[in-house]
Amino acid sequence: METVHCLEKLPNSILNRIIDYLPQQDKLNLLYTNYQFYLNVQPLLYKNLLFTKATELKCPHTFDESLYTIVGVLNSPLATDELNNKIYDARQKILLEALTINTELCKYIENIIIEGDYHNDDYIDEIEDVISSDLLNFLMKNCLNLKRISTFNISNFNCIIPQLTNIQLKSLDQFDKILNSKVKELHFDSLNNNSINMDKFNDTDIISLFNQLDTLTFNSEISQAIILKKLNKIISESNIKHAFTFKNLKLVCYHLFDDPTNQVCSFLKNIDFTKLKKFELVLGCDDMTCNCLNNFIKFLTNQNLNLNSLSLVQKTAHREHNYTEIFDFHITELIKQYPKKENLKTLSIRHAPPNDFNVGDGFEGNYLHRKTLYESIIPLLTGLEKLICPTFLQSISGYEQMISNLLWNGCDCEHCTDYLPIFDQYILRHQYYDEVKSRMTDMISPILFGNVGRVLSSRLEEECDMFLDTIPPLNRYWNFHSSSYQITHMENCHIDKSAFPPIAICVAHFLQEYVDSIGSMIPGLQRCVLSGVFFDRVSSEESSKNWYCSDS
Amino acid sequence: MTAERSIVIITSDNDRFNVERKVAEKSLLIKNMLKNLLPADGEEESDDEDQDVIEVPTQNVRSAVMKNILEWCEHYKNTDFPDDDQEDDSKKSAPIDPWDKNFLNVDQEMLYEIILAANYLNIKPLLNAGCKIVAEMIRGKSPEEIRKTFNIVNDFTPEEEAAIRRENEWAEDR
Repeated sequence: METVHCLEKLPNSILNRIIDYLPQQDKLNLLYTNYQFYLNVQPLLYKNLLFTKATELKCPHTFDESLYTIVGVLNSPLATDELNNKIYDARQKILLEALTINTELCKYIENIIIEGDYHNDDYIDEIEDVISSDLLNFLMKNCLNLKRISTFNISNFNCIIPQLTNIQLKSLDQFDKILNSKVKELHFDSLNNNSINMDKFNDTDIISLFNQLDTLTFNSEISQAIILKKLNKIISESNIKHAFTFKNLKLVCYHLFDDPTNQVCSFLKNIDFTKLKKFELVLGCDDMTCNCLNNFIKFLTNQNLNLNSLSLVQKTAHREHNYTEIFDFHITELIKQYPKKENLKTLSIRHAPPNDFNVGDGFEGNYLHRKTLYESIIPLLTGLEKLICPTFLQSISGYEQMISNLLWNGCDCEHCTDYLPIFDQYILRHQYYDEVKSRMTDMISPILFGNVGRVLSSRLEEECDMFLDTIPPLNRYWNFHSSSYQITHMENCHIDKSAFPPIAICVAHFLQEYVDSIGSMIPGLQRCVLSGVFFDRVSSEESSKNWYCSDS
Repeated sequence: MTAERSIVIITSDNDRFNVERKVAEKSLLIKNMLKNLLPADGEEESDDEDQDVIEVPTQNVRSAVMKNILEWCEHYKNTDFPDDDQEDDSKKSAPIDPWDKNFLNVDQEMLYEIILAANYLNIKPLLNAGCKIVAEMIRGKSPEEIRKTFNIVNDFTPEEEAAIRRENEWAEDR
């Protein structure tokens, strides 16, 4: 073999692999070094673009930052919205100018994500809030290698252009546009028009559409019911055995008026489970005494599943500890009974705690019940590498005694000793509107930390939890006042979003104990993400310093 | 099971390494080669006595590098890596395994040789770990520091440099 003395002489295929692992600023710095690297880096710098009014969360020990190039705002929590908007507009203009001058660049762009800003008061951005229409239209028209334009956290935007292979369908009116297209990843989001007559479409076209899909996700039970009803009908009439080869699948199994179990199971009988790698289930049943989830789990665990990744989502919020405990009971049963659990690499579990984190019976004993359920399954997941719980802190916030420990009996490091008294003062000086009592009430720690948890978990924003690890995490801040209910203060209040990074560190110190305990139950676990706080195992030795945390 | 036939890997400088089949098969290149030469474990019909030793020539890898490669394969001989070529998104962002990181703590030249050999022998997890190590060497450095570390010669004119900076200014992470 010829001796290679320098980076430049490595073959392009290897150089591209290396460049692909670089965060965007490092891609840029390498691009500036000389002409060869300019040529090598450019396609990868432009390949995946993420438009958002946020910045990347720094993950120096992992390679998350390399996933997308972010067109975003300034890197400081102190930057004002006005300044950020100005910078954001300027960056979009420069990009548009670069693409107009050097049209070659357009062909490098393959994936675009447009992500709305996170607003803790539940406001949802419009597309114009996040990307200029000049730029968006230019991209749609000139980027012929585009495979996806996905929007998250944005209301009412639907884009279907012929070159796309990854489509979010927001209205069934446009269903005919995807028949006979080259779509491979299809997402049914909540639909605008549910009165569509599916019978006007050709059966063969529908079947061949589902045959060509690698990814199928349903984000609403209504669209799922319409599609599955039609699909099941075609299949039963044709009498042909089908074997759809989805790699990624998301389904909703929510018992509302009708029990969807039969419909979902008939559909699942037509799937070649050996191909399925990522599976996400949104589960819920609003009747305590109903057995539907049990039956569904029995059906599922008898299939030939061999998953890499399993995501479980609680469908409905309950102001009742028992409902959540029964959900936990079902999903832990599912995991217990699932035969190939040792092959599972990624698990995500999302609960639906109420917005005000007020669960009835939120006392310690009930918290311990749920903890015991999880402790019984975690050690069984011997192959697990990644555990993601986007609602971990919010769920604990439902137990006032537990979450108050964070504030008053928590970490005594220098940072927490400095900052926790500030948040204690915040609680003393604020009030919130309590929905149950229907009046303004003194602030409590569940409201503070529940909202902090909500904001932290918005660092990862995807319609599907099974794809949470395919986009880079973003920095989010909270001003401690905006929420889906009123939060007010008596006198002057100086606390603002600059206090958010410090409280995130306090939260991380609180979570560390859980991570250590999960980590000792699963020695192979590499990453644990609890409410948007990242813990990455950086050393295999048994010591408290073997996790790197995003907030430290 | 009948006695396993031994596999001998011959390097470009004619060194011979005796290895277990399980270890050699960490290389998909060798694994596929053996699939053609040897029946799978268990269904052996080894009556051909001359064939007791299988020689695998690897003209592209010298002995010092092969020694490292085999150490890696030995360490992971009981780990199953998926054979399929497809890059798993979730693997892409994972940190470098601490053992790999320590193992790849070698000089730049050896690192490139290990990467090239892993590429040639088709050992994806080692190739990826090697590339991540190089990426970490680039991370956090200014263009000038990168040039220095990797002996890259700046061939831009000042005008070109200004134009390139302008073109990509939108991506500056500040």
